[in-house]
Amino acid sequence: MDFLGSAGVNGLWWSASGSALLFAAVVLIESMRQPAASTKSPPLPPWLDATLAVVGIVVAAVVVGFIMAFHHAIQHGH
Amino acid sequence: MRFRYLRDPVFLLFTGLYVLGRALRNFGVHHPLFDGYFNDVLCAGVWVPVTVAGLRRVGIRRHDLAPTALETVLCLGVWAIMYKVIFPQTPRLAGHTVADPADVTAYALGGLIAIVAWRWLYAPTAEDLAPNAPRQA
Repeated sequence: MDFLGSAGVNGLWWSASGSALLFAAVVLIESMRQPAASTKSPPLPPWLDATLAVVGIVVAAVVVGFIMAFHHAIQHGH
Repeated sequence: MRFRYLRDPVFLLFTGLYVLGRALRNFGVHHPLFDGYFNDVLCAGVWVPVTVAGLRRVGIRRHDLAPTALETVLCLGVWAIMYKVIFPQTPRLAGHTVADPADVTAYALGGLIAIVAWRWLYAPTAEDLAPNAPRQA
């Protein structure tokens, strides 16, 4: 389980960037479906709606986790 | 009652306690209360409101209720994996994060305190439960 350790700081940056991109993708999916809801098109299936919500929370938590890590690193002068 | 996000009393109280702990430590004051697991207990009350505020801002969260148990548990689970499994094995952060299972217990305790406080603070009032009450969206 050294997938971040072996890559060092680059691995951290790639993981942070990847999480941010995934978060942007979830936001994009959400923004695309909002106009559809206003034109009374069929809603997403409940399982997909729930999955999107869970993925959104998890990815947001990862992004916030990296913000916490960078805050911690800055505080300790890295 | 609408969740107040970054003006939520739990968020403000926990953030204030964190700042107080850091300030005391910067002044060289060490108290058992502010050392050890103190910051881990505060984690949920500080960062879950920040996370749900971000989710609300970008439109993924479509209500203004207090953070749900699912939101809190998912956030704490992700942070526990990041800080107690992945980061301790990362050379740059290994010196600052420790794979201590007791930290996860402290996260859970703080999360439980925050959830109970949010349930109590944002319990629906009789007005909210009225049949013609405006929906929170």
